[in-house]
Amino acid sequence: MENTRKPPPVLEVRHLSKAFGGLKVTHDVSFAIPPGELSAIIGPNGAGKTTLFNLITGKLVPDGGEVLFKGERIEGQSPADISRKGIGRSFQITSIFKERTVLENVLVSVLSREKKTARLFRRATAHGDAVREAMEILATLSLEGKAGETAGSLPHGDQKRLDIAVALALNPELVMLDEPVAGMSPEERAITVDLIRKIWKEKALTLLFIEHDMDVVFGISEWIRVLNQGVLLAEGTPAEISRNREVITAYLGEEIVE
Amino acid sequence: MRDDKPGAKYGRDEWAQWGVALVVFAAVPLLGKKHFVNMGNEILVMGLFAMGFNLLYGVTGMLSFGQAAYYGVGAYTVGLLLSKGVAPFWVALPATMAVGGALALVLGPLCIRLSGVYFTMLTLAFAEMVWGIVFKWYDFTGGDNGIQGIPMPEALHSPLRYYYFTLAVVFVSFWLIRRIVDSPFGAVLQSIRENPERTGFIGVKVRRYQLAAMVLSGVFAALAGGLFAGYQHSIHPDMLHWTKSGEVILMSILGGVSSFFGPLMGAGIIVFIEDMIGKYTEFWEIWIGGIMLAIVIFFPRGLIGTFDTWITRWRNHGKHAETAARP
Repeated sequence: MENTRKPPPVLEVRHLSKAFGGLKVTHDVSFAIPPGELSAIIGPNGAGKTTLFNLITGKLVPDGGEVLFKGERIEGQSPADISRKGIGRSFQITSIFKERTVLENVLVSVLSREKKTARLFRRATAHGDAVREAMEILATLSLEGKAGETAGSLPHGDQKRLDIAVALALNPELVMLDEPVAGMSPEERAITVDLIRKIWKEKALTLLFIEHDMDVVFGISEWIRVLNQGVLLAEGTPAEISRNREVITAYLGEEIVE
Repeated sequence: MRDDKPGAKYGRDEWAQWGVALVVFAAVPLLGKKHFVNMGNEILVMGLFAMGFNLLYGVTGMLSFGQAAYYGVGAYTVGLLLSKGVAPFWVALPATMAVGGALALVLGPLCIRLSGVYFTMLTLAFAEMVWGIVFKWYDFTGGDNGIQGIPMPEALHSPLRYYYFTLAVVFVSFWLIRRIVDSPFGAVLQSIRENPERTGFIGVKVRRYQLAAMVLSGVFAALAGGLFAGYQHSIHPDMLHWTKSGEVILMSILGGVSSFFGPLMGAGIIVFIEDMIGKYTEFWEIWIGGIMLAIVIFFPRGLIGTFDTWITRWRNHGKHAETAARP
């Protein structure tokens, strides 16, 4: 191979820190995510996983450190600005527009990406291309049959997937999913994980997710980062992580390792 | 894909509602009583005021308790321009929209810094300031005397002509509001109502849209105020008082903030009650209070909203029965 240089990371976090009062929820965390990686963040409750997501996506402003997206510093910027740059996220507690239809949830996201939301007099639904695109995105998450239903009336699993659809409608390069299959039945979990992996492959996304289900984490991740008490305890391939003594003590417990 | 369009919850029977509303209002003068024309005029004006308010409250989820400031400023724009002979009515009326929008551009950024009840309190506080200025500035606004004998153009002298003029302006405004609600911009406003935080995470600068909603709402409120000034020929600082702001909130909730014509319906009911019960008792407000209580308990989504729910349930009844019959 002629070009042996590693491609520049899509996301890089350098010495990121955040404290709430005296509690250091993120403590000097550094890592880099190469393009196209499907990786997981794991760790016990309160390890600072969601806080890390919030620091990256602009919901929280870090006390120190840097967040670089495609080489550009983005820490401290607003969620709107960061989203527009190409980071889409879903939420641990499903965050959708409940009184709107499933289609409208995704359509508004498509229209926002296309910067058409300042249009005052043309019907949103008359934007045929945007509607078609929204329907395609819904189809990738098996929600196309529910396009006309009110989002809040969907079962939990469908709402979780809709949350992901709203993020995907931004056509992001980096997708961050916060516990995408939490609360789902085992069958639904399997289906959703398959869909996520398929979308990741087809759209050549960089995908980062938080998850507590270790079958899911070790099943699909190429790389795993472990957070514990705000500190990045370890990172590596699933095989490396499952053998890591520190990780086993802090989080995994013995039963994972044969 | 289904046939459901965004905003479908604003009522699938909306075409019928447009038709009924137009026919009813167009027919009011046929009743042959001047009194009904006056009442119809007031309902139209307050209906426009309430529908503009609902763009902010029902659509965007921002409860302003200060909309009377825009309504009053619109009325004073017409009153002052006409009584001082600066501009004719045909210029003054569109000017109300510019003035109302401009006032919202000034007060809006100060109010949307906060949300929820704090936003509401700020809108109230700033509206009271505007009221205070109009009330105290005798040299310019006439203070608590208001402005009387606003000279109207010949073409609109007859109350009947003015009524139909108002009808046209108000229904064109309704149509514009409808388009705005259905537009991509309107979709963003409704997203903000549902979930402001998530709206930020789809790349929307939420405050900018909240401000735009305030401006549009202010534009329609001021236009309603201007129409009122033209029909009453006299205006008064009471138009800017907080009770007026409260009145449009009441009207919107009464008719239903999540149905398009709800606020107009509410305006109709309140104006009607004031008129009917006002004849017999000074204490008509007690009646309004009682009726409000009944509405909140028995029609939690407002009158039109609750009727919509009933109709939908009735229509789906067949379908549900079918599903239930399946083993």
